[in-house]
Amino acid sequence: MTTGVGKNPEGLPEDAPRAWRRWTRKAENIAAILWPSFLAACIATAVFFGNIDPVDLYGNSAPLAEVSSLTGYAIGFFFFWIICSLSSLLSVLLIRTSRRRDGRARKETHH
Amino acid sequence: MDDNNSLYESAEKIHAREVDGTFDRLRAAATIWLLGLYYFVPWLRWEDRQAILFDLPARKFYIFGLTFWPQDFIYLAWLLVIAGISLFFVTSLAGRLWCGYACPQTVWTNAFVWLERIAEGNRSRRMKLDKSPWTREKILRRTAKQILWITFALWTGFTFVGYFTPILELGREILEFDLGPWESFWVFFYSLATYGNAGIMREQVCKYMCPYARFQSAMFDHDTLIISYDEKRGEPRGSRSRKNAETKSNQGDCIDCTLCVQVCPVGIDIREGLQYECIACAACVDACDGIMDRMEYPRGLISYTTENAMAGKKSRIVRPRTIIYGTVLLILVVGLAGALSSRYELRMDVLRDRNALYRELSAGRIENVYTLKVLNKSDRDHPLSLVVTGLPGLVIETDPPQPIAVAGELTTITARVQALPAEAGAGGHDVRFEVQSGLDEQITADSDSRYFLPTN
Repeated sequence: MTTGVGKNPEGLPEDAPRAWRRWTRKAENIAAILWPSFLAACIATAVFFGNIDPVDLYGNSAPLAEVSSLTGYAIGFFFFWIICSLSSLLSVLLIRTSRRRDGRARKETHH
Repeated sequence: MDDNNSLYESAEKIHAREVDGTFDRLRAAATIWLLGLYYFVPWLRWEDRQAILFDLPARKFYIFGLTFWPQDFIYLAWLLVIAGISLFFVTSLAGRLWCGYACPQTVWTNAFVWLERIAEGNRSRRMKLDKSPWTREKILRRTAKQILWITFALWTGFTFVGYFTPILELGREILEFDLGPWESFWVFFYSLATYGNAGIMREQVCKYMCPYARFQSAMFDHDTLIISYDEKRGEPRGSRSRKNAETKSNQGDCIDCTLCVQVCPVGIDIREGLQYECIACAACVDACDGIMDRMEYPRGLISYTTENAMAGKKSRIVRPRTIIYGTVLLILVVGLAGALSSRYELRMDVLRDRNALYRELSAGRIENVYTLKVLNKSDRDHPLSLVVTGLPGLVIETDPPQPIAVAGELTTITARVQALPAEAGAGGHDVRFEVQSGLDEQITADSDSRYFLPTN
């Protein structure tokens, strides 16, 4: 595909290069781990705390005896986010290290 | 360390060219309307409280006159399902209308681009500025942009938290530098998310992070509205001057001005066909229509159309897919409306006293003690009258004697229920507690429990 630059009636400047921002695989991996797990953690937090009052929950366990409900929600949310991130991490790992579609094994990387 | 440090393979930022036209004005209107709604709603009042407030510490959601409790979680889930099906329905009819006009990512990106334009000028000036060394002007303009962006992002974060903490209180706490740690955290977290998504990442979010962009094509068929370039009419494309617009008859109508590419916020060329990056904002339609007008060609070389229309067939709006989505949506909406309108104002749970099955009083009377928890979901106080049925000769005494279910609160009432073994019989019996509102006898709540007498 050519960039197809031509003179237009107004003599507008030529089009900008087509190499727009593109993420590296690393950036894609980070997004694929953190973002879906963030969404899942939001759902988990809503469902969990919709049924359980954090004050009741943490009130029963000694180390967290004195937490406000806002702290309770935050702890719960980040807990879910971490757990869900682990799941996403494994998914990304499995997909990135699987045998490729063309049947060739991926290049092993040793450090 | 090689290129692994960078998160970009290539880092040329897209600066979409400004465009004027019907769809651009629609998009601007949608942006202003939606942002206005977002920033204005937390300031609305309802009687003596915030009209819409999701009070997390108290576990109560207020939406105008309605108060929602954790027990009402089902309505929220239901609402989300409705939102999902609506998205399917609209997508099957009109394609990615959501992406182009209503998605927060699009709406806030538009706002951030406007701010960028205020500080740095139009597209070509911004592109020049990107390439320019750090001159005084660049530093000034970049600083101005950052001040605008950061202020706007902080206001967005503040508003967001204002949906969860009364916004007047929140504003006062900020002015007095007395903001709680979690409130501060969420204000900054949400501000940062806004800044990052709408200021920095923009179309990258749609391209790399949006799940809807990847599965929306499943809702598409040949009758779905898409943005498309009319290849038959446009090709072979070629530049020409306005003078010989008509003489070059071997050329198609596309004059290859690349305006459609320059205005595209996701940086694609629509002439290559429909691509998953396209958020259907119709900026290219506006741009191309403007050029067609100038060339005195008919409009619509790039247009909202359907695959069937392009193939010369009729487009149908009513078809199995839209009927199914529409019917499911209708059922869910009617169901929710019905459930909400018949939502109980009062709810009651009865807990038996755990310490004793029964107590023997003088004159052979037996007493069972219960704790009644009455939830009043409405915004008015209900004086309650209480009856117990299931056994003959039951006498009920409550503490307080004239219980009132306070608006929007859980009221605890102690109930002592007395019976005579001679009348009631021995052992355990099922009983039913019923409360009735003194305001409206239709408003009741009931709950079952057990009553115990000596087995002798």
